[in-house]
Amino acid sequence: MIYKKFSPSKELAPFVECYFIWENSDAPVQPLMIESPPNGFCSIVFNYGDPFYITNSKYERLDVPSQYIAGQSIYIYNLTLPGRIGMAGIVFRPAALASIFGLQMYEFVEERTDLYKVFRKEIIDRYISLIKKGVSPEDRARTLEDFLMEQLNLSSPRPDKIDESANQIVEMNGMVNIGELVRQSFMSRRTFERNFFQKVGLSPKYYIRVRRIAYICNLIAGKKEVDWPKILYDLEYFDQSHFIKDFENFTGRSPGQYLKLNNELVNYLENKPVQQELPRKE
Amino acid sequence: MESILKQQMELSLKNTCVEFMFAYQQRNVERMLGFCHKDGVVHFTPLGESGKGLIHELGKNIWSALIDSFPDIDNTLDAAVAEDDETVRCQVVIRGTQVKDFAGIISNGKHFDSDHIFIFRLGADQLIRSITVTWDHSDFQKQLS
Repeated sequence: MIYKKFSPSKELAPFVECYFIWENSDAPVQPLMIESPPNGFCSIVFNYGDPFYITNSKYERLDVPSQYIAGQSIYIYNLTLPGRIGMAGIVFRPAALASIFGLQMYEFVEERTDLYKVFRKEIIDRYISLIKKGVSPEDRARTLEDFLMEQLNLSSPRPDKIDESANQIVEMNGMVNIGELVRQSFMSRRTFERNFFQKVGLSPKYYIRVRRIAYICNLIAGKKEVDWPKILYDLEYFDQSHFIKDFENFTGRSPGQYLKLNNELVNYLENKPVQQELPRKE
Repeated sequence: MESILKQQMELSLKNTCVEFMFAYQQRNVERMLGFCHKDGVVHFTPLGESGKGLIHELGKNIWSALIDSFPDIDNTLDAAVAEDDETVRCQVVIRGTQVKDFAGIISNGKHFDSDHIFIFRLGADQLIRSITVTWDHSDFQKQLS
């Protein structure tokens, strides 16, 4: 199985966290089941492998469109991949889809929306064809970058105070003071919260909770043992019962159970993926 | 951009609920009611049978009394999730400071901060047909006592 992550170009770095390419050459004997906790990011995904579906507390089975926008998740979900895997995805910074495309991101929370509903069909079909024709993960990631550059040239977006605040929450793994973010934004608390909700899809306080849990899940996935007191201390959880309640709320399991039983993608990879520079065009 | 607008219209189920909560934040009961069907029903579940009624009667009275008793009442919409084609679940934090007695709770000038769940069901005309509101009423009372 191949799972590669690539960094965006300098022009796209304010909006894009990374590109990913996920492939396997042969269909698994048993359907592959991968779980994913909320991670605080939105994405655009092109599937050039076999169809797959997701299960979460909202859907018993959601057959995922071949190309889709995924908004913020607030529930853990399972991907069931019965066949060959082939996915090329853009992971966006939290407010980027609103900044680039003018979307109201609260509409996309817990949704996988077909790209045909958002973009002109001929644009999407052109890029699907290019992704399918790609000869390497690098080639496909470059196609994702070309797709975004085309969109960027149409709207020339610039990151605003909400982008900056949301990105700060990501960078600090949720360990930020909301009052300070509001102060830096030069907005009233109410305006800040409303703009944040429209551009990220969640309230700032709730997004901070999502981001902290996402960070913890990322820390513990693929491990057998962790130093819980250190994690709680580092993430400034001074109340253990509050931490457990929050963790259960987003993942459906206690932190200890999650450590033992999680089925995240990293368990299927030899090494945790390291983000690579995308080789420039010749 | 034309197709983006189409998408926004298709997804406007949530938009009605979000606008309802924003109107509540502005303490504008008439605007809140403007998003609701004239025969729409409301159930404030912790209040039992006495918490059931028409949005334009019971809902109007309770929200007006709340705003009167908690003049700084405010809310933060944490998340809005479409549960099916006609139902939206909103996770909301409501807060305020009591200045008048409310629903048998004597005013001690205390502040409350309480997680609420609003479940909205909408009709094809995008008007709200029913609202179910749930919160931890004993914690609400405890904070104000």
